[in-house]
Amino acid sequence: MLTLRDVWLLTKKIVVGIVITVVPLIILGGGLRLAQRAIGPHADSKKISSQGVPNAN
Amino acid sequence: MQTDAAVKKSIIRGVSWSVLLYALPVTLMLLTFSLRGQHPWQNPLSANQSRWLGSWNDWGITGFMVVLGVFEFVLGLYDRDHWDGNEKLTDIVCFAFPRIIVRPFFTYFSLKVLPFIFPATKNMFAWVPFWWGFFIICIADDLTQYWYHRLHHQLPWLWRFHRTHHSAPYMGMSMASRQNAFYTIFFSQTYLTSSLVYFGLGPSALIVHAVKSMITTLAHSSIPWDKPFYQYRILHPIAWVLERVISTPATHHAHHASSTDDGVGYYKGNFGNMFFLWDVMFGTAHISRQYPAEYGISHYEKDQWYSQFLWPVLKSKVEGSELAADGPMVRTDVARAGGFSESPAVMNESVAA
Repeated sequence: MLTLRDVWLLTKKIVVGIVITVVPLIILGGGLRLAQRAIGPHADSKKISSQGVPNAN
Repeated sequence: MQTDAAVKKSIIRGVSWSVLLYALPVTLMLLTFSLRGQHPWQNPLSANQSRWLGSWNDWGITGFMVVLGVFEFVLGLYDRDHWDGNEKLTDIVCFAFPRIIVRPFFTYFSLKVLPFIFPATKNMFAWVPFWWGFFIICIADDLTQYWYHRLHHQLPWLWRFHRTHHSAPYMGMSMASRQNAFYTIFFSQTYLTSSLVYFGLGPSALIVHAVKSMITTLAHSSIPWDKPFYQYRILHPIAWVLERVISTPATHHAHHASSTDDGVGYYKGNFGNMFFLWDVMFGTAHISRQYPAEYGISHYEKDQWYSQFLWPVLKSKVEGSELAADGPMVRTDVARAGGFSESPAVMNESVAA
């Protein structure tokens, strides 16, 4: 069963995973937000609903 | 066991370049809009197209993998000497797990957790044109998986979470999903892409997922579909481009080789999943246009399927195995007949097999 060492290992793995996920998300999310602002109010008015689009994963 | 200084340096350099690569599609999109005076247009995918793509992602890819598996089996491409009961069980459990357990989990994550973490941001980037979204997701998803994969090879303490994928002494379509449960659950690129889908890039993500699943499954398959490109001179220019852009059976099989002694196998690189381009860019590529003679881990102890699937919760009963309760973090490769045993220093350079 899981030992303390295993729990520590899993914790480290999760932290690495979070960093690998969050860094690109900040770059892309931040970049898209900046682009949205630069493009202006048109972006908001052309929002479409993607409801019903299944999760790609 | 420490990571080699040169590897550390290479990782840091690669990660720095990756930051720029992540920013590249958004920057190019913004630049294009500015130069052309464009405003984003509506997503061209109709509800019907989205539904069709959704069905393909839900059932089509699974069906494609099953048909490919049947072909491999019928053609005798599975190594029946090595594919014993334990290996079959490992393959089947790992194949079923993402489809039965992980998919509902990620659906819950997308529907419940993301709205909680990012309230009022659903579809906020739905204005992104489809092909720009495709470009963004391609880089976001596959570059993230490249790093996730590479770190599991180059950071010794992460290796055992990925070992199951490399333990099989054969190749086949089922290898694409043969992973330890914790490796699959914490797939970084899935969380990243799910978030981008939530932000409105769903249709693009569906296409990327469909294309990526095909490429990665075919790269693991024992059907060498790329062979004609190397055999016929007229196809060589196409082969040159193809093998540098996407993962092919030759380059990915080399990653699954049990040895690097023969100049064909290269488990110290070729980490790319959909795109091989990352390996070319970050100096981890090895192209030989040949297929390794042997696959797997040279010191494979045939650990029980449950330990391969659920380590570290369930441990291997094989003494001395990396998955055993008191096993080593990384075992040194076993000496081959007429070959040599890799020194720990080499293993430090890149944990693998």
